[in-house]
Amino acid sequence: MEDITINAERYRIAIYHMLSDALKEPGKDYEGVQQKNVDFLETAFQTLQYSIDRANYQSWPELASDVSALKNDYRLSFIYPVEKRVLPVESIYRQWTFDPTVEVPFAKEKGYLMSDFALHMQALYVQYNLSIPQEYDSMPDHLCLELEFCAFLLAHESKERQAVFIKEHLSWVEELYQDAVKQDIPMFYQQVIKVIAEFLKYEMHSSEKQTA
Amino acid sequence: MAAKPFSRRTFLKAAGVTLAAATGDIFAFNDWLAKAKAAEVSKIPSICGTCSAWCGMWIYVKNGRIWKATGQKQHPASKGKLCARGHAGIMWAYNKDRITHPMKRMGDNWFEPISWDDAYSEIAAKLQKVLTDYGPQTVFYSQNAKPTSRYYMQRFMHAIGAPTIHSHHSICSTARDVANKWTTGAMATADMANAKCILFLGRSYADGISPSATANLADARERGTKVIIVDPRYSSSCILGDQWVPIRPGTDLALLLAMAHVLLEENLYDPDFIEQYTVGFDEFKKTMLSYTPEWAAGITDIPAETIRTIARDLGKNRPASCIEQGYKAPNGANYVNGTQTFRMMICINALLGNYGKNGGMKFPLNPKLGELDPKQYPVPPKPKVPRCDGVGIKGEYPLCQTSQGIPHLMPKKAMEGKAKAGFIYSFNPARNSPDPKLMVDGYKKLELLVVCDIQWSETAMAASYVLPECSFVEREDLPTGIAGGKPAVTMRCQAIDRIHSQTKPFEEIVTGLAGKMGLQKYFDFSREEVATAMLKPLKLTTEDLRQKGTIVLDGKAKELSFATESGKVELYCKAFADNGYDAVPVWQPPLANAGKNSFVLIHGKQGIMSHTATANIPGLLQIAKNYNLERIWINPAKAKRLGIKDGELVEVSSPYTSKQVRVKVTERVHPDAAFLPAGYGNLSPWLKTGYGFGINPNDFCPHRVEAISGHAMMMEVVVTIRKVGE
Repeated sequence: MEDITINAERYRIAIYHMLSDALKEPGKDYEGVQQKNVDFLETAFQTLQYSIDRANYQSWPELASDVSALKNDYRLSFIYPVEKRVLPVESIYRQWTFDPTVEVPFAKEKGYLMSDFALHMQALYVQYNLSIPQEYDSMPDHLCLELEFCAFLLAHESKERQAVFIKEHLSWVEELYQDAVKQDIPMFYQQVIKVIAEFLKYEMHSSEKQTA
Repeated sequence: MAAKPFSRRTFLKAAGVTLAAATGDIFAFNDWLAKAKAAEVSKIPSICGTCSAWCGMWIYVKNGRIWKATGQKQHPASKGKLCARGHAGIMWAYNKDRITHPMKRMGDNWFEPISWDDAYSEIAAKLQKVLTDYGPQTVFYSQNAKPTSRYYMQRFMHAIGAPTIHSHHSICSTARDVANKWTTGAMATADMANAKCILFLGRSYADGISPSATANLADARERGTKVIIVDPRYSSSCILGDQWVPIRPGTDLALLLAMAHVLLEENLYDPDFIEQYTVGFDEFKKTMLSYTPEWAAGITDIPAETIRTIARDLGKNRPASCIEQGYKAPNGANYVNGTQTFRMMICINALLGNYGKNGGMKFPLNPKLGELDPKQYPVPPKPKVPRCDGVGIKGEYPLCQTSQGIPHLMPKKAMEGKAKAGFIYSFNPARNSPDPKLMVDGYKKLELLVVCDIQWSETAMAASYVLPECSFVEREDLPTGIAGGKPAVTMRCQAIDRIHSQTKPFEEIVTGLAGKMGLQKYFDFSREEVATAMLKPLKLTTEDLRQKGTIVLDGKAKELSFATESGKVELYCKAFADNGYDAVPVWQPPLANAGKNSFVLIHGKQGIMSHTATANIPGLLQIAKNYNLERIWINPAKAKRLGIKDGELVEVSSPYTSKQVRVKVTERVHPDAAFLPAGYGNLSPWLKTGYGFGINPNDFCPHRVEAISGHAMMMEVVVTIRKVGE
């Protein structure tokens, strides 16, 4: 029984890493890896008993077969053109601050960088002596970092804290997926975000069950 | 684990992970929030960058983020208050659609990020090629001038031998500024605190807000000052006035000529002032004789008796009465008769003998700032080649100011092959000048266009390279003097850390580029050294300004003098005569005249919206949406004739375009005018917030250059309006 649990935890860590990876700009090292990822996800989800249909990700080898095209898809999805992209950043989907003393007029609005959640992420990185790449200074709550942080918590901290973290920081990903569909971003990234959203639903459900 | 995924690099790097450190008490969000709420608040002085009023502001910072903003009490523009634009504009720092990296054009609406070093190298190589192949007279720099950009880019332009430096005024107030230069030598401002009667022509403090000006107007009214507002529309300022006098668009000059006629005919002018301080009175008086109020009534649609009353109100209260100095309104860049309209405003103020008098027009005092020692820090020589916009050149625009130039002319010069490379800073002429297509097409003819901005303006979208500046809350700028009854000095200080690591303050950008051009010797100093040198004559330090924000200085009014060629107010202007312009203003009709079923398209700011830049601020745009502020105003009489009802969708057409917008049918606008707010109609799809909302008056107007001061004549267009099916 213990072995199964350990195995499951390893799968979870690996899934978080893999999905985080999928949200980083693809390089040459990303060529020809998708079949391996698809097979892994299927096995991992089965092991975890997460009913995420293979149809959601089985076309990744096709969609990501040409890395230079995928690089272009990445830009179209997350960088330019501005009017068609989505930003997988928690701050954009959360109220800017919950500090009632803040008097700027957009304090309770959504859609701005460096919300409380970004500041909290910064504090967590400091607490765990972690550093992030400079280009993420304006978005320490980018989804790829938050997924990686989940993996870090599972590997080095505790399941309990990881459960607290996903509950507090990752409830917005379904909204991101809706935006990805609305903006019609390239299919590979639509599917990646969908799989992340589905996976996180199971993760949250699973942690709630544990708490109960 | 049976299968493993492909795994690449991790972004989270452990710097000596110790899980002991992980047992702190901020892991849960609410625990962090409790600590964050209790954090200390610091207070940093800044200058609002949302519009060009540049109000002094205090930015309060908590946990490294903006916590609130207030107006600096000691700053003459804010006097303790900020407007909605100031409160909303500070969010630019956190806007998700900012320009975050240096970008290189790769195709239509397609840019790719490049490194700063590559950007500098490529721009320097292309600029060098333009200088070698075509000469420095083909290079221009257009800016919405700010202290840091003005200082650094002037050095840069002079270092490459290029004289063509522009401010934005040819689409703003250049007619006013040229008229003042050649009539009184400098611009005087109305002493509202002491005026018994004041006439505003078009200018609306409550729409083009600086908080102190609006408050001063309200105070004046409360004190009993008679405030007369002449404007084709009942602006937001009219509620603070005694009398709204609707006028036919573009005819203010006729009103002024007739007012002068009345003042002269009824001896309501100041003969002593005229004798001592003016030249050309006889020619002036002779010219005014034919401009009777009855004549002007037919042109302006203002009854002759009203014209007489306005003139008498001013004349009888002289010298504590004046015509407010104006800005873009009534005619800074609007109609063909703009420069002479302002000359007449000044001439009437001279007839009232109000210069230097309480309640009249006063020349503001400027603080004298210092500069770097040129022996220690070499100054590039002034360029010897002519400007490419023709400013200061006989036969072209000899009287236009070299400090302002004609930026909106550059795309045409590019089409003619006379401009080859340009730099544009914090300025959006591609959207805010008439005929945006011509502007963009012209800019794209350049071999190099470098735009520095914080957001994807229409001009940035036309650039070959876009260099991202950090927003105004993320940088410190050079000190700046503030002219006024008492001079002051202020400085924008950095309130928060840069959010995007690849953005830079402007001085770093210019210095970096200068280094690649081999011009480092002209930039071998820090901004702090320049700031220190500027403040030295005032016996102040940068630390003083970092503490206090704005410091009001002692200043005594100088003896009245006029910095013109004659040393007097030039009612007759010899320089105008020498260059073939009317030496004394005469009636010149506007080019655009409304017909029975057509309108002259006028425009203006709104209290919450300055330009298309502010339309991209979500909070402000939401107000505009909630209150239907994008609508075009027309008068009910004409609306009825055209079968148009309030709120209906209409098509507005000029010979240049047709666009649809909803209509506001209101008595608040003259029947010959259709008023369209100037701040909407973003064309850049990357200005995601503002894009697609409203239409812009510049789309309807042709590209033109007025003969004397070179302005854009932005209201010289007739439109038709028809109801469209929905």
